[in-house]
Amino acid sequence: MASFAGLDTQVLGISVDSVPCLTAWAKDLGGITYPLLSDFWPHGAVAQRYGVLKDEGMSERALFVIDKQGVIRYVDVHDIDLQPSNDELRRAIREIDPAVRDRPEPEEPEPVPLPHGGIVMYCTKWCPDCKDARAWLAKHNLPYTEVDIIATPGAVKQVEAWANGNRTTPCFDIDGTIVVDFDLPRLRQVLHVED
Amino acid sequence: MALTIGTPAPDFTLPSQLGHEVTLSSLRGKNVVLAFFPLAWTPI
Repeated sequence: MASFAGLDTQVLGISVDSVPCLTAWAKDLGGITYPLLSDFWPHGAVAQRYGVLKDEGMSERALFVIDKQGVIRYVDVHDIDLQPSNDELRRAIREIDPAVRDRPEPEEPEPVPLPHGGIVMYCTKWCPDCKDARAWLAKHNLPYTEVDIIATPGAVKQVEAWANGNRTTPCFDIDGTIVVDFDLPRLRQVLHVED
Repeated sequence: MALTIGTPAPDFTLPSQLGHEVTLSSLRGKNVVLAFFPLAWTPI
């Protein structure tokens, strides 16, 4: 959700969480430079006005692009696996805003080679399955290299290529054998451990 | 039902994790990507 450089665009995240909760989350994620807005009180009031508050009290996963005049020009409400990519959003903004349409794409950061050899675990700092996987690897004294997919350029694309376009974490590259998700039976088989 | 394309975006002022409030209408002149997510610790 980060890179809209050159497109005169401000990103705003918004949820029904409290500010302390969003602060803790941003710290966990690391590197979040845009505001995460707290729609906590009156609870979900903004989500309700945008028509995306669910009965359970949280919002849908939804994206609105609002143009420079304050008009909604793009709406997407989606399941987690079907989120539009940043590329798609950048295309949408170019279509909406003639002023930025022909600006060049910012240069991609120089790709860093992803590590190979031994157990390489692609994960996020906070995903529950990643935490379980770390504990399991530690229990078996299995050394591993961790790739934070949010902090590492190219890592998300790599995971999506392995996981049918999904951003599944954790994923493992074990000397070239790929295991998608914290799939214990498969990990036991590949790593020759009993439990 | 989510608001549809062509609707003026309802204005709001909300606090953020950066320690300041954000008012949508103060961002006129910029495009805004407003990304609702269900709860913290879910992917954005």
